[in-house]
Amino acid sequence: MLKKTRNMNLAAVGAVCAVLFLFAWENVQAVKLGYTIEKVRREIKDLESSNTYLKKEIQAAMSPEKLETEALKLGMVYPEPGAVVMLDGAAGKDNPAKDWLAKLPW
Amino acid sequence: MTAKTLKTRIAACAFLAGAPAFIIAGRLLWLQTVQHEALGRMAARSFSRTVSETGPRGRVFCQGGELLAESIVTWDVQLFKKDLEDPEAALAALTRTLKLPAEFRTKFKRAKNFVPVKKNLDRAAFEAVSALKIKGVSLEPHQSRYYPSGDLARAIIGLVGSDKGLTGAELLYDKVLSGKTSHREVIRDASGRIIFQDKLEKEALPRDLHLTLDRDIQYFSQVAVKEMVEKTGAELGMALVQEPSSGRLLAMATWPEDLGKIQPVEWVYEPGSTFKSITLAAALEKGVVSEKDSFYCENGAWKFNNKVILHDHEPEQTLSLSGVIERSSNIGTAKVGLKLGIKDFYLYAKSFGFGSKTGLGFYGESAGILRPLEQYTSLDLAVGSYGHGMAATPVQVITAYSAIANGGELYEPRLVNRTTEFDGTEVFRNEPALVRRVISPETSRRVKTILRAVVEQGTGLSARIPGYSIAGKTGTSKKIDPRTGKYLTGKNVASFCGFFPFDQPRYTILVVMDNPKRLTYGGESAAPVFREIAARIINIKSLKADMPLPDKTKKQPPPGPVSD
Repeated sequence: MLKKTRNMNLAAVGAVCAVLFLFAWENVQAVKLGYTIEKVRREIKDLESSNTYLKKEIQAAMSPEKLETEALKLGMVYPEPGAVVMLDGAAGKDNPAKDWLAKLPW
Repeated sequence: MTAKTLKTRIAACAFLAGAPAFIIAGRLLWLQTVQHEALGRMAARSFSRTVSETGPRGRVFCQGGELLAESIVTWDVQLFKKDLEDPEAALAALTRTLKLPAEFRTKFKRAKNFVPVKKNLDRAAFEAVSALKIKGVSLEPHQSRYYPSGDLARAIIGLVGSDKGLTGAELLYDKVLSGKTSHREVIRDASGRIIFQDKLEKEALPRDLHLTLDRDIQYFSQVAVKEMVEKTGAELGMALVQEPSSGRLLAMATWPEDLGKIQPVEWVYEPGSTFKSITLAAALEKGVVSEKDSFYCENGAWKFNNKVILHDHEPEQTLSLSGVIERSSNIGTAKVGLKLGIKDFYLYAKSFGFGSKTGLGFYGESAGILRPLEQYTSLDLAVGSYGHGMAATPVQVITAYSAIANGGELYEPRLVNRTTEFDGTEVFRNEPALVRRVISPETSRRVKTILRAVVEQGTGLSARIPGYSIAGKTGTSKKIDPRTGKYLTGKNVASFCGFFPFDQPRYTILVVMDNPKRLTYGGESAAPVFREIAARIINIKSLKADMPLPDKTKKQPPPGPVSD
């Protein structure tokens, strides 16, 4: 009888310890995850910034000034008025935002 | 030792060993239950921080979606001398990586602890400094404004200072573009590292501004104006392009650029002979003149009264109404104006938008100068008929010409097309605003026909592009000394305003050259810039020729007069 009571007490103490350990483990995990989330957040910010810089370079490379400079280097000249005929749109109509860059999700 | 004594001693030992544990457990219970709330608040105050982050400023786009301005992260490098493990090595590494000047070493030696090293590092430099892994060197990120298209429309976009618009569209639309501040609560550990907790607010993004400017037209206008300013030695050059059917401004180029001013709405000048089209439109609309009328132009000098003699650029005899405008006769136009009368002249000038702000809303916008009706004399009317004795901004002049071009309707000029959320969802669309109908479509057609003759055989020959119907008017006005209010000798403002294609004009272009030292007439300096811009537009928009191309085997007519 006495042995049974002692075993019950030991089991109760063990259960309490297990609960306390679980609680402590949970807290440690929460803090560790907190560090991980913060690290990932910083990485996201960094990648976003890097992405903005890459888009910036695309835009800068496609600026009219840059394009004109490169075209002139290749020996190109401006055509005479009326010499250009657009094949992919009705002549005389504007073709706004046709380039792929304008369609990028900025 | 009896068993009882032994038991008592064991109990005493057990009590001594267990008592502190009970006391600690009791204390813990007290702190975790009764004192939990108060202590939790105290801990939160000590370790928690609400961190504010100002996000990027909104972007500015052209109408075709090309980026004009955006915010990017740049970094400021700073170091703390006391934290450096090897100051000499750190200094050498930073100097080499950032190409610091020799004076930095002196600055470093003089500083007690904190030394600002370099500002606004781009990403490549940031990565290079980070790779050095120097203890005591910190990189502080912040938002900077960047212009991927370089100088394109820089004066229109304006300046920004610490996320606040200072001039131009950045100032006018500051509320739309301002970066939003987000707050989140963080907990720091003993070493200061952030343990993520939660966001109090969702990260807010700013709105974007989409201008009506066409990137290519803006660029071609800037290049053409700059070249002509350098060629003629003008103090200032401007080229504006507008869509007459809506009032949308497709280009506003100025050279030299002053980022603190939007010259097309702030700078005023006497429109000179370009205003003759307005007088002509009013006179035709009121029916006081017709194409059949002829006007004696007094052989170039007309004694208006005992004190004043009106002059023409070239001596002219009798001219038809069209001839008066084609040859840009001041005397002929003054006679048209006198037939119109002071009241109607004034009302039509007002109706075309002169003397009133355009509605663009820029700070510093001028309404121009149009004296009150009751102060007008017949002399004011005579000289006002050819654009003297008044002042207008370039935007007012081009908007009035667009009204003539589109069949007689005056539209409010527009520079902003729409605003959108960061993801592109439209928030606001700036629809064209019709102010009033000024002249009938029939009068518009008659004025346009005469203005086409100006380019075909009059003073605007330099604006002509073979195969394309272009209408326009040259203008050369004397500059006024702002101190004395008198005309300055040898200082002109040369201009040309026109539109094309003739039947359904899609582009109105105004070119203004302030005080050109060479090629001083509008037909000499401004009209060629018009032609240059129009030719580029024809190509990029693939506009078809609407007139027969001249036969190159036939002898071309001699160039006409450009002296206006």
